[in-house]
Amino acid sequence: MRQVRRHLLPLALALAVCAPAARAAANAEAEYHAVVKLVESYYHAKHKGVPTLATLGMKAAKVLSSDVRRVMRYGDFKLAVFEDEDFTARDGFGEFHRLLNRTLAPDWTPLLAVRARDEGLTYTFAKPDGDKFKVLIVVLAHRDGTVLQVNLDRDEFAKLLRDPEAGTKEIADDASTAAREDNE
Amino acid sequence: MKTRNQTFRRLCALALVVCGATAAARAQTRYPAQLQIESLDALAAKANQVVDVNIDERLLRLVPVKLLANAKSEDVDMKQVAQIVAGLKGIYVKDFEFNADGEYTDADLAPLRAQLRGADWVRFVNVVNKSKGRKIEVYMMTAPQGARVEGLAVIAVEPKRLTAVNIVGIIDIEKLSKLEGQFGIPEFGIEEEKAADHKPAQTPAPAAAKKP
Repeated sequence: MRQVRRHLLPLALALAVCAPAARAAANAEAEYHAVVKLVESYYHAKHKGVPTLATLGMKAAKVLSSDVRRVMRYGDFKLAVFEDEDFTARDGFGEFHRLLNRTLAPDWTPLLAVRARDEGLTYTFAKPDGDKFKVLIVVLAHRDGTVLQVNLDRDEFAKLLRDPEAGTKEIADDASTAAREDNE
Repeated sequence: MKTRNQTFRRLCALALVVCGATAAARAQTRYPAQLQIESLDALAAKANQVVDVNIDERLLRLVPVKLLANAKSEDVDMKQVAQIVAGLKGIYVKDFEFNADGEYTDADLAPLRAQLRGADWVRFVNVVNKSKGRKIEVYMMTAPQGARVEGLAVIAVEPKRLTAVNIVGIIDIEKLSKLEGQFGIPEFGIEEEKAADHKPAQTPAPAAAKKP
């Protein structure tokens, strides 16, 4: 019993120290999927994956449009698209923001939340990932929506901080355009 | 046996302390100059457009200041921005646009103003542009010894627009205008408004400018 305890203690201590970092890395994908599921459950919508874009790194042989090339600079890139759904059914700007915060806490920091009645909702969250940054963007227009996760280097992330609204729009537009072109 | 149990307890306590310290480090510090700007959130339901920017210390510290200031190295303004950003601990903006006049009232602003009536806050700019129906108030929080500014708050009201900005950290108030148009802070044109407003701007004479 004592021997077991002797072996387990260092292990428990090591886990206590290392668990947050390991969990943060492992959760990156899970958090993205959790946000997609949150959009689905809150708005009773169903997303469409963008499988070809999910494997952008494997598309070197294909002639890529400038938009797709632009998106490729984001590296690890995840995108879920919602089409022909009704995102106006619930006016849950604040409530949905709180749910997103709860889903992404504590690793992600809310950076931007925008609600424009004629355009829809936009939420941007960020978290450090080594020497890069993961940025998760949720855009819900009246009928269409996007959940997007990209990796930004420090220059791009600084650009996003300098103008969160324009920076978010640029990233989301790049991704949406590339996704559309890629599917055509 | 007793010694081993004590060691076991101590190690468990250490593990708890490590976990606690990690959690505390991840939690955000709330500085005295950080307002509960979320007290305005109820206005979102009435507004046609809401922009909520939240750049906290964790995000600010992750990026080198020179990148945040977009150092076009010859650009003096950007160097000044870099100096300003270096002392900041957070930038928080809430901007509401409404469809019609009168969709919000002073009562909606009361919770925010109540915080600014605290002992540490001083209003040092109060510009009224009657032709545009615009009023801009700038408040600052000074350190207890009054030697430096530890935070700023801007409230800009127009008939169809309300903006609240809270800048936390050490900042040279003369350079506040350099941050306009960046980090989600709208372009208030404070300097222009001050110049246009013929009332003498109440520059930092804290005791005299203090609100009742």
